Amino acid sequence: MLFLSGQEQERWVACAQEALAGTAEPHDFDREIRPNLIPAFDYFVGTTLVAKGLGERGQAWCWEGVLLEEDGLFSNGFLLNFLKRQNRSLVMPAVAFADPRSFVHFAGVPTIKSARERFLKQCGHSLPRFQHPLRILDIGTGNGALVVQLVQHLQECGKVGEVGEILLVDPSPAMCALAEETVAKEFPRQRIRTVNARIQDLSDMLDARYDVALASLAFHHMPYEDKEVHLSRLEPWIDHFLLFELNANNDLPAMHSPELALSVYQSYGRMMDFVFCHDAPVEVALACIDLFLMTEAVSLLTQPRGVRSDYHLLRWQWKDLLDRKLGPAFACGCDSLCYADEYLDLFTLHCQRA
Amino acid sequence: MQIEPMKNKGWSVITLDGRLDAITAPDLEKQCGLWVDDGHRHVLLNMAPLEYISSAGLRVILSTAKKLKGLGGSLAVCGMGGMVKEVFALSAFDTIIPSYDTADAAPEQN
Repeated sequence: MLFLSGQEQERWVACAQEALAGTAEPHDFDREIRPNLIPAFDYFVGTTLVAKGLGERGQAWCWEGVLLEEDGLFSNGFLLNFLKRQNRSLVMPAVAFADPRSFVHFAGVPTIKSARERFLKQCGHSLPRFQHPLRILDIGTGNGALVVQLVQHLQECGKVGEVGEILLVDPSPAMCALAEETVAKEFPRQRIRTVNARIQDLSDMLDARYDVALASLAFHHMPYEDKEVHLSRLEPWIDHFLLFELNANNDLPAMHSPELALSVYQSYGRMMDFVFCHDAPVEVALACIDLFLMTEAVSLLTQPRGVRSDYHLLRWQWKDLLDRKLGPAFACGCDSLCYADEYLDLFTLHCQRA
Repeated sequence: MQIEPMKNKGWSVITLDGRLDAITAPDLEKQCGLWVDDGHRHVLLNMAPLEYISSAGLRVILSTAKKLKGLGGSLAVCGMGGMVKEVFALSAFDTIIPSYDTADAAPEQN
């Protein structure tokens, strides 16, 4: 993952201001920008212009970056395609997760599927043997497939016998319904509860203890200060916290900042490539891009902190946060990568009551 | 897929047929790498006989275009029809990859 120095950030902002004022064109700053970051710089300036309503000029910047991108990154290309479909505007075509199919497709692309399999394996290595029926809380359950796979994997490796309760929490009604169906099919005799809410709305209403709280690509939907609050509220009610997350700098940087644009460029660019690497009818892949990944990317690029939908933290920031909010009662049980390349990684963090 | 490119107006014209999907896309990617190594810089993909293209197929075309651009070359497509043309329009890849009705309609390359 690449980052900018403070000096580079200042220069990128100054350059974007010149582009906004209409006194700079693509390539004017190429000598001042790290050569491998020129496409990311074009993306930063292009998205800033489009976000300010200067769609045509913004597209021109993205266009210059599109064929210069490093292998595995198609951020400018997918952005240009998206802008054409959305009349040159950075609009969110949908509410993310309103239609579960886009997320379900994303979760099934080989890179994500294999990262989730590694996560399950790492949980199996890290969690203890539970002597009593397992009570598990799944925060942001999605379609419920991961919690099913986790419990089944823990049963297969002898860590879990009976299941006491599975509590599924998700703010999307469609996801909740799908999750309940998925989990009930695999565990027909177990107690399954579904709560259609955000964890933010539930964390101070918990009235029972859970052995495990699972949060897969879910806890990043709130800003850092809210993560602090809700982790503190969860702490008395859980013994193990399992986090599967994307390592990205999408929380603390402000809207329209170079750091945020570079992070979105790398993380979402790679995820869009994962989707296109996978064989699928084009309309299915495009729905996954538009209704899920680009919807989130547009939120990051056009909405301020507190309003936007996504706040992925860097892995070291997560470790620090968990240490402060769950410690000293909790200790780290696992800190492992599930997938990594030059621009993106997915990781497992397991905190267990000491 | 036709292995030996035909020369036309400075373009190396390659004809794709059948399906371009996750099974066949790696072959095209590998073959494009060999053409680039052989010095072909301006590649025109004749997609007239192509029946189906998936997301993985589109990705390989974009990836090859990027590779050629990095070497000072270019990639274009021609002859698209039916489902393939619809997919290019739907995905808006036609804004990034130049498209011509026929190989003869493509501009001369030096």
